[in-house]
Amino acid sequence: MARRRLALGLAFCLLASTSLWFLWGYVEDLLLVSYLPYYLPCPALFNMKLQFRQKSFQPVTKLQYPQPMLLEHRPTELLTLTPWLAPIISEGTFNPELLQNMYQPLNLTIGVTVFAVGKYTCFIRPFLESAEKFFMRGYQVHYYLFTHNPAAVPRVLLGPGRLLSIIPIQGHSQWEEISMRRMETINKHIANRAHQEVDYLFCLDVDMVFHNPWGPETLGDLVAAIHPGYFAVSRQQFPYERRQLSAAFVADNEGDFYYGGAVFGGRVARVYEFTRGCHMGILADKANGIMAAWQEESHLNRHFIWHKPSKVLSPEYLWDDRKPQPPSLKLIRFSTVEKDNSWLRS
Amino acid sequence: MVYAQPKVLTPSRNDVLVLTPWLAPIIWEGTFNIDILNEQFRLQNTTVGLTVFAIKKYVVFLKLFLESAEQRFMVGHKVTYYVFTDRPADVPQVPLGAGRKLVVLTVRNYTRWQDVSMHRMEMISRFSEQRFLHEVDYLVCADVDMKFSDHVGVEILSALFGTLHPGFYSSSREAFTYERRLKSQAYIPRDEGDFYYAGGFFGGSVVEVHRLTKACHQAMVEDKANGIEAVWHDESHLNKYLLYHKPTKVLSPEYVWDQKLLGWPSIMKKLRYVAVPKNHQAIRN
Repeated sequence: MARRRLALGLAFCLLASTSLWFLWGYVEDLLLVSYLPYYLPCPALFNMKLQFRQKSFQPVTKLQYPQPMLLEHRPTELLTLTPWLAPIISEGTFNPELLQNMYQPLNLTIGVTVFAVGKYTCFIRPFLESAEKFFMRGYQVHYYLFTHNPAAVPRVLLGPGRLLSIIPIQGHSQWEEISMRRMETINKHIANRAHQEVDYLFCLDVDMVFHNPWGPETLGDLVAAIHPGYFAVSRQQFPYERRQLSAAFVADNEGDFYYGGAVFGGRVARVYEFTRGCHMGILADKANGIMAAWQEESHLNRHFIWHKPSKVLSPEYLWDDRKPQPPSLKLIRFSTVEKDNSWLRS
Repeated sequence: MVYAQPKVLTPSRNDVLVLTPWLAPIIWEGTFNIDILNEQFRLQNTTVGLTVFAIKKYVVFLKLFLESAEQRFMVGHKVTYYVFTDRPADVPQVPLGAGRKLVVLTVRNYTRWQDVSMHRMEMISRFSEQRFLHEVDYLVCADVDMKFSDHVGVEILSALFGTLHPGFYSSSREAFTYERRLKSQAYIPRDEGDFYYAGGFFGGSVVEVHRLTKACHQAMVEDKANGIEAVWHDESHLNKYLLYHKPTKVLSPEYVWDQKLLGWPSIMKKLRYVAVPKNHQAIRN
């Protein structure tokens, strides 16, 4: 009698565990975000000892300009200095001729990474043409255009000292994947090429257009731009990743500004470290079966809390044309192109 | 770390300029969060060197200078005081906190106080190459006849910084007491100039301070060969240098003040480094 009970008990356990196993398999498929198979890149690549280009400052030449007024009688509308003493750049905070005078003699080369995958190739022409008019005029510029379809890249006339390199990359069916892989791609690109070719590197979204000058006022060791949607709200309302499981998690009482993923940059060495950090976070999340709320932008924001930018660009440098322009922003320089996301991402 | 959120639409100070036209921060109370900055600099294990010259009778200022520095200068960070003196025996024994040390550098004196002042540039330049480069990350070059009366910390550190002279922060550039004779290396024309910087508090990375002090010293040697001495000595040459080599941070007059001469205007939320009363005749002999 007891043996029968034992046998029944064991059989029941076997049945229960088998059905639980099947149930878990089914639920697991529902819970997990479906990721494409992802290879883990060789860790050595992230930690390469690269020889970066070095530049030292030269004295300014004589220049006539009005004396800075120390005792302001007219209050400025925007914060111009972060609590960690990084300048916040907006029209009126700097003298463009003076900065040109300081930076021009350094013979700098500015790199720009931009990704145009899938239907996003349609944005290349307006991006490049407007960049030719407004981005770092008078400097050497090297555009690095990453695309899955080099044949789709239009011929755009570039000014002297300005180059375009087309770098083929793999496309992906999921737009989130394309977006997030940029961190790794930029990091590897710096290791492969950019560290020898440029002094500063900007990583910009392609579905944008320049409307006004973007110059040396934006150059710094590590540069971030304030997202146009969140500069007037409190940090609890920032769309940080709020799930603790994610490497991009930010608590309610943390955060300075909400930075936009469409614009970041700095000295090549700093961008190399920064993209590495973000990409490691993205990999950790993949291993844990989670994708941050705003993809690499969430990781970018997490990392900018830990490694504060040395310079912050006001929303003049990352604007959304659908928003009405507030009086505190005097000169919109770089903003989104009107687009149909559902078509683009299909 | 928990701290209040910075607000994009709320400037930290609306009564003063906090950013120069070449995007160097101007440091006033209220513009910075010292906890964030302390963390950033501690992570780098920053060491700060403070040079001070106590020549002849000026040794008498050392005790108060050093004691007040112990209370208020770069507290929590590694500090090395470099005391240049011709009277090493008269350097007072001041108890120092953890991570802080004092080095006495014996140097020659000069008869004229103007020469004592000016040769500081030469001495800092020489020691920067020989010693400071290997021992500290940043150098702060300060006058000794002063005391630290409030916090002076890592908010001042950057590649190159100058301090706004308390006597001229509201003046227009024509009134700045720059050297105005063409013959001098320190000459600045009336339509040029950003600020009038104080000779008693400047600094930066060792490399940049070396460049500055070397350039100023060479300019003074040139002037001497041409039979001219700039109106405010090393301060005139400092101003010339900083006009053409823009500082990466500018310190407000909170960082060099004279309360007896200038009182305590409402624009100064703190008086951090202030003049100690002295009898000019007696002390300069």
